[in-house]
Amino acid sequence: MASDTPDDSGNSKPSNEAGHPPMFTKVLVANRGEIAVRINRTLCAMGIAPVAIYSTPDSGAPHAATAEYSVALPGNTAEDTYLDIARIIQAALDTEAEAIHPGYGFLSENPNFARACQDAGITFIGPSPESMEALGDKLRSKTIAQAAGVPVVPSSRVCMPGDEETREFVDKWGLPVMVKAAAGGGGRGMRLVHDRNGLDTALESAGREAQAAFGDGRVFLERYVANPRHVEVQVLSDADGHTIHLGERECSIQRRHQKIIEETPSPALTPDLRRRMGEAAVAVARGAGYVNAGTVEFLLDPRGGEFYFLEMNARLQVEHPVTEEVVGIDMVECQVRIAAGEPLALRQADIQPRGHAIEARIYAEDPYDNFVPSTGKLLRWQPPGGPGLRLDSGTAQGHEVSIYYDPMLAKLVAWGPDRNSSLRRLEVALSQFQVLGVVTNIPLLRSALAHPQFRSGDYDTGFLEWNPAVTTPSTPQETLMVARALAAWAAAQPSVPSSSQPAEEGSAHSSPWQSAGGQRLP
Amino acid sequence: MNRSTGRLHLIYPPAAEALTCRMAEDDGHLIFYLDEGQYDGPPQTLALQIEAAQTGEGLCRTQSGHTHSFAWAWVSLQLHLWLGGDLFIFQREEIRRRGNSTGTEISGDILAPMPGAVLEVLVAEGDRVERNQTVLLMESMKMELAITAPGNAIVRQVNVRTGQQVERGTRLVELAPDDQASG
Repeated sequence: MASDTPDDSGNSKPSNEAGHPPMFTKVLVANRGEIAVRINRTLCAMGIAPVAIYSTPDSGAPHAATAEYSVALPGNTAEDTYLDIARIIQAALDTEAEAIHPGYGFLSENPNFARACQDAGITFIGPSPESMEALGDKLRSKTIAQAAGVPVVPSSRVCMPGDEETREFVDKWGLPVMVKAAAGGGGRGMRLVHDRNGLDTALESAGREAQAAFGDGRVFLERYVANPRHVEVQVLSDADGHTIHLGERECSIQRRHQKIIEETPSPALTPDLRRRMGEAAVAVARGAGYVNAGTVEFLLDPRGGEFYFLEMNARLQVEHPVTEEVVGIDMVECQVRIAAGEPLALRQADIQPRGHAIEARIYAEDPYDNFVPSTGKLLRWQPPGGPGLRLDSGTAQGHEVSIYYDPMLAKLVAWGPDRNSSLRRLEVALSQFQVLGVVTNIPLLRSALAHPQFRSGDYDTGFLEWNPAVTTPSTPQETLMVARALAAWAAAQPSVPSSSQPAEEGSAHSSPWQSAGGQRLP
Repeated sequence: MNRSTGRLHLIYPPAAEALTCRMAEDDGHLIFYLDEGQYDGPPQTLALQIEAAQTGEGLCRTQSGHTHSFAWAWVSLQLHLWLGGDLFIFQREEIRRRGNSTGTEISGDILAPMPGAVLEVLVAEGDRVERNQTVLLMESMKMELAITAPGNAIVRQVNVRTGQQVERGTRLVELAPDDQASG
């Protein structure tokens, strides 16, 4: 392929010009939920036919409904369906899909899957299996970052419970210490250890969790950086090694080491720090020989303005929409074009972020009970709308939230000309998001957004820990009164057909209030 | 006509203060008498105008004109109410009396806090367990969760085995008081 650098037009839309390889006509999306729906949308807009795969519990799910073709993968568990490499490759061959987009999670960072695609003559929309292997191993990726001149957090080698090296590491760096999985991600296989006695248990349990989640139980110790900020930089790189970054995302609001609110730009960065982190991210991507979209994660010590390389995620991130909203490009489109062999038609100078974007992840989980996942049928699902709002959702009213998959239901993104206006738009939107049937974390998201510390922008990954009020119900007394009154009223209404409310006698026309004295409720 | 709705208990959000409520209709307004019999003095009243265009959703207006949008649905015998961004769950009493669905009320048993798979059972019948001791490991949505004993006790019965899928509220382990420990 010719190594033509982009022209000077500053055109931010990559186009399929003459001389470029032919674009795909059909792409299989090896995922489910909101990300599969989101990828389908871009594929359709590009004139490419999306092919969905779906498990038994996902029959009729939006990700299949928004595709042009769909292939059933009978089975319930992820292992039997969205993680079954052979079946997915076969589905792509059967439907004559030329490429596979893996989304995030599932097989997205599995080099064996990328290799299986290659072997079957299917383009994998993502980096090469080799760079995935190097980056997927957190210890190897640190070596790459160091070689690129980027500082990293000190860590041990792979260790086992009882190893002498674990004692030495703790002697050197102190407690608490982090246990991490070499193949880790999404908080899995990760433990914070506060005392030496808990070290072996944590290594064992993290190893087991990592084995179950990634098929790789190797764990290591890492120096614990207390309450850092978690800031990541989006990069894009084409097959010719032309690499740019699309600015940062602030991801410090987390629960159980999983992000729940992300925003860009980060309130913590000065223009100088932003430039240095962007350059560091590009250096890591180049050092890894990385092609396609990737994210370089950093820990930022806001006090000293020091940042450390944490890991590079070789896939599309959950929170990529905030970047898309301020930069004004479709990242999935860039991914597809890069995978098709087109040069990246964007230069660093073309990236001029505009305004502020913030994302809230809506999970089916109980924020007041240790984030226990909530399952059930979505009896009501009425998302909000309005200027600057974007909803990436993978579910719909009437659909079941099952135990088989991640409990994230949707991502709500608000854009505004400045931070305050995007925050306000998101707050209003969350207060109008009607969900019934499962418990969601919306109340937690709302109280986090309203919190003065969050508003100030001066927050870190310890935010929820330091502000227990955010995970404590705080319903105003007046709302509680109205709620109780409405419950009493609703309970006396004719039954709602959507559920298993016991059969009610009586007609819908008669008022329950005609009887004197009303009804007594506690 | 007089349909009994049974007694409704607010079970979510947790720790929200319970209120009593009796209602009557007066000239297009519903009058709700709150806190009856709980405090000295006359009950607080709340007058609401309710407009419901269709089953399951509506608007209510307080006397000051404050308008709240609301929606509701029954999940089995629980009434889920969405009100201005907050979720409230009310449960009919007959079930609550029988039941275990909110978890911790039944002493002596350990219930599954979420649906998932049993990863490992760490205790056997007759074992003595201490408060906060891990009795089994569960996995749900790829997260590992340690299930711990609520207090010092003897394991009376283990109801699940490794690999078993359980629903939320499944009685995993039954405990009996540890008489020796208390002596």
